[in-house]
Amino acid sequence: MIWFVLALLTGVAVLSLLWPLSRPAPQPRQDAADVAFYRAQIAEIDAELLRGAIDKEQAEAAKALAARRLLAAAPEENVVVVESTRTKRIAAVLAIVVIPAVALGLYGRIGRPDLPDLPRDARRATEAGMDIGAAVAKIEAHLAGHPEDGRAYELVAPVYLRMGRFDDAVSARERAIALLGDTPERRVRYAEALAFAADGVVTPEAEEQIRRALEIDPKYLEARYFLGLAAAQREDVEAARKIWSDMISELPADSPAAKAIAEKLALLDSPGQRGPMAPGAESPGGVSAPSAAAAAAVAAQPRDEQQKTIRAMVERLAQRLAAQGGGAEEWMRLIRAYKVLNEPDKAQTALADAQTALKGDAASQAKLGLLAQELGLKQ
Amino acid sequence: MTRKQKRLTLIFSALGLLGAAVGIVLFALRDNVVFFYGPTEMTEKQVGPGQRLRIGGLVKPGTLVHLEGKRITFSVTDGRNEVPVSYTGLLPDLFKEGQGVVAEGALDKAHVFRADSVLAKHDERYMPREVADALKKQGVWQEEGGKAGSGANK
Amino acid sequence: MIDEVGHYALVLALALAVMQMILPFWGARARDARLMALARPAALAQFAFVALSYAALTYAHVVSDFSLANVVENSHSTKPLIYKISGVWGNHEGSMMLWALILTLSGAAMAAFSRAIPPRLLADALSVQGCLGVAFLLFILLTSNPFARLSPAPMEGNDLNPILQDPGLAIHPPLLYLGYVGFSIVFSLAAGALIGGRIDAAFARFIRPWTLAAWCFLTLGIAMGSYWAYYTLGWGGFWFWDPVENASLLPWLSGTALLHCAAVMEKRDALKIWTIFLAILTFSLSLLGTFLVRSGVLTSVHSFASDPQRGLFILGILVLFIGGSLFLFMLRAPTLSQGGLFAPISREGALVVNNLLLTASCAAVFVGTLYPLALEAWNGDKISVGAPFFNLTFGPLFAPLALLMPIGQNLAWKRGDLLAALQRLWFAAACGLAAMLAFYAAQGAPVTAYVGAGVAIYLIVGAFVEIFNRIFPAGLRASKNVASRASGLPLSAWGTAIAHAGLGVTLLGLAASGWGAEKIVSMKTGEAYDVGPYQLSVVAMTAAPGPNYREAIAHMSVSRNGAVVAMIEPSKRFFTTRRMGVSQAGIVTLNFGQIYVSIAEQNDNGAVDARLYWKPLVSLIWLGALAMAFGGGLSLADRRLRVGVARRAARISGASAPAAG
Repeated sequence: MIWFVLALLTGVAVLSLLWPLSRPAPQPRQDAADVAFYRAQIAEIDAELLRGAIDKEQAEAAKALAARRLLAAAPEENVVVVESTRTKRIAAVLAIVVIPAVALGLYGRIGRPDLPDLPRDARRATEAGMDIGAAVAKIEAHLAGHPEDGRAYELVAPVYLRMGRFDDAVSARERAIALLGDTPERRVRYAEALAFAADGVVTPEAEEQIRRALEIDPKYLEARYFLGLAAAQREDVEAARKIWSDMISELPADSPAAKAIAEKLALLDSPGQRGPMAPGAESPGGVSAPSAAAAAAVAAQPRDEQQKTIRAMVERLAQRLAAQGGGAEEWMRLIRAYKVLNEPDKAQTALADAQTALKGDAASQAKLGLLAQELGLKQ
Repeated sequence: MTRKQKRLTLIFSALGLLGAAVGIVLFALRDNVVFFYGPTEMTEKQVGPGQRLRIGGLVKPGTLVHLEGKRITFSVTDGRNEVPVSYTGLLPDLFKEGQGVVAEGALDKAHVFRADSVLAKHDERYMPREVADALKKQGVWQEEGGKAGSGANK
Repeated sequence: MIDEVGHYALVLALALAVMQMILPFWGARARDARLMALARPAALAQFAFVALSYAALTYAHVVSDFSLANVVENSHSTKPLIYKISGVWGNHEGSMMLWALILTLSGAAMAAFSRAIPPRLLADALSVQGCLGVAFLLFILLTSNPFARLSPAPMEGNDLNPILQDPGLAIHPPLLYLGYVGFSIVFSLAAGALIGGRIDAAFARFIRPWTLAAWCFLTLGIAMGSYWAYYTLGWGGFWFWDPVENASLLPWLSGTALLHCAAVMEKRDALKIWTIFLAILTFSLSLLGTFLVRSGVLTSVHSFASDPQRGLFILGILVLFIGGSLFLFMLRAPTLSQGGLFAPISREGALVVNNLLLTASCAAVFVGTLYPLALEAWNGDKISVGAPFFNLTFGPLFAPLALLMPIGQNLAWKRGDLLAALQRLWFAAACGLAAMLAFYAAQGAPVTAYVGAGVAIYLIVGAFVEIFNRIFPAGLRASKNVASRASGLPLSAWGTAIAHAGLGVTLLGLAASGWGAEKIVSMKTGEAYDVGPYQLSVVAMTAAPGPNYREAIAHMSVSRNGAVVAMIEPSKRFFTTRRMGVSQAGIVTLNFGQIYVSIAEQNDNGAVDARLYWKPLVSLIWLGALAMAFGGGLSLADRRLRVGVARRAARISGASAPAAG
């Protein structure tokens, strides 16, 4: 279907030139324009004379001048307007060959005829995925009118997290606690949002929230998990191990949560090996929160549309950088993205690639070094 | 006047006018140009009080103080050095701690930069060019939107 | 499929542009009428395909098709419809599409409405226009493709920069581009005439309507842009001497010079070389403006792109076209014959002075705009050249223009009588002086304000002196045939007078800014604050949700001598998607002056920080620009009907000649 339309368009373009070519050539007089111009000028002189702006003598002089100019301007060349069948044929062949060749040649390189249109309404009708943006906008509008509705803040906070609006998630969690009261669950969610906002680092501020959750319920599992994570990030391996081991002993052995924690524990024991680790694992230096939190959470976050999209975009960026290279900013974006998607090995590889690709660019190397430090990657 | 004289009159008046124009431009360029410095350059170049200039950098987090009567003070930093700035007036919409800013004014005797205008960056992605350059020079330039989630979304 | 059809149509337009570049040029060399005539259908078809492509892009924005990267980056599904449409050109790729659309529209207009132009000149000119089309379409397709796809497509977009979500943006760029790119017609005709080597008075006749049309659009575009900056940026300023603004002022100045110079060339066959040079210069400055804005060399409010690849590409286009045309110019200029002679004191002489002053002020702005860039490239020093520089250079160069303008209008062609012209202007000069004294008595200092206002009044009155003398050639007492004389005046005479008076009106608005008042206060509800002759007080603060933002509105009353004369509602909007606040200034117009209020967020103690301005007569700045554009339009209407009018005049003169004789 699309090729049919494109072929049709090409045909129209070619015909727009062929059709006038096929008709007899117009035969305008070369000097028609000049004659018209000077005739108009003489008429103007007459009008001025009539108005009394110039006297008769001046008018005659001006007219004589215009007439002289007309004679001077009349080109002799206008006689030789040729019309050859040969040039007509060559022009026709050029139109038939060049237009499709240029169009298809270029379009073949940059076009994506395989991709369908995706207008938003049609997508919403076909794809079951809820429209996050609209829902959020609705809740925000509601909150603008009812700023005391804590439930709404609680509802919108996880969506903010998924949309990457971490600061909004933090303030929503904060409002929820203020409006709905203190529970360990809310404190942990608040801490989680803080950690997201800090690129996965359990900040002292977040840790404070965890401690307050544990003050209310010392056995609260998720809070303890985060406490362990914070310890691990501080490289306080012993403390982390103790917290997590205790948790495992309390959980049913084959529960997903226990398994996830066991995996974490195993990582603590081999801090040196950061390169070829299984996906889902991370180094103790800089832990990315998304899947860490998800692993510990009783129900892991479903990989929704948004997540898939991000992954695909990251992959495309990676392919493009591999194929065509790119600037330091792009490489850094890729490395960060892998880190947050919890693929540290890929992040490590990307870092190495970036360092090779940007070799000789001291400023970029320094930036990469800083980034590696920040994310806890091996340089 | 003869044809030649007319032509010469015309040419000389044109040249005279152009000469005057060039003179005015050069004169104005000498006195009405404002230099742009980052905080480090300001320290290096030993800028004296009273010289008009523009400074740019990031608003150092935690330094923004609102005083009486819409007076505010903050520090502009490029990661190495910082300059205290005081300003009276309304801040632009996008003025935020940790964000890029350009201020125009002069140093006073106490080495506080008295700004009479403050410009903030104009959208999420835009950093004033001078600020970006100054920060790059100091090696503290970071890509904006450090959060990878939003970074990958772009 | 619509996306890809739009993409393909753009590629096809490029192919057609290639043909338009080659075939007519070849035809003109081979003197083949049929090949030369191909320029017309090629230009029309090229425009049709770019328009189709543009429509497809607009459709994608309207239905929020997030499989296009351009839509993702600059749109959002909750954005109001009008900003979905105007958002198409609110970003780099889209604005280049608009540029290409108007470029091809110009080519099509030239092809459709230039039956009077000799075929060879038209063929060469359209070939040059095709060359421009190739360059810019290649630029779009290779470096700034708005049809780049994303797969899989995200569910939501990043939204348009809130500052750009404004009705002003919906009108400003198209008008500005119609002006910028409209000059491409003049450029192509000049280049075509240089290639063909035939340049005479008739040439000026061909370029005048296009120059006039482009100039009108550029005037409107600049005025609109200035008003937009005035009410969105919240600083109360209307002209910042920002490089981007200067970039639009440069072609306006040289375009104004061209307009006047072409008149001399048409009437008197003089100043040919100069006219051709200005035709090239004007569009070159448009190209330079595009380069400055689009390459990211300057980063300011208007710059949405900064990519060295793009910059180099546009620089290449710039060098190719400016260099190429100047080379042609150098080659041909010495062969041009001398035109009509004139005395230094004559209408022509006055127009030469006008041209010199305009180009000199253009050069001053040019230096001020590019000097910082050159200096930075040279030794890395960063400087900014601000308003003081431009006030000091542009002012003295532009001021004599204002004084001389009415005098020039009253000089005769070829040899003028300066004394007579001055005598005719005594009334205008008296009005100006009286106004100056009156303003001094009423408003007082600063000097620039009342002197400027006096000059402005002199300009406005002086603009109509010539018309007055044509209607009442023997003074007011001999008022015979007044009606017939008035209706017999060509529209272009009225157009000239109105446009010149428009400049006076703008000047009056500018001068009056000296009497303005400005203050920054922390406003508490219920208390009154003086600004100029008015008192403002906050009545209430309310919050309201918008389609894609939240808004806090301050309702204020404006009163004078105790009576409330208006309400004003400045607000602060917060756009959630981009997490960015934008002030919406509250503006109310009172007797051509404006009260202008912009607010910050509400303080903890309930007061709201606000900037209050009283700007007397400020609206005249833009009304004057409107008058200039209207005057231009009036002349244009005359010009189009010129042939018919001339014929009628000839018939009348023929009929009445025996009676008179």
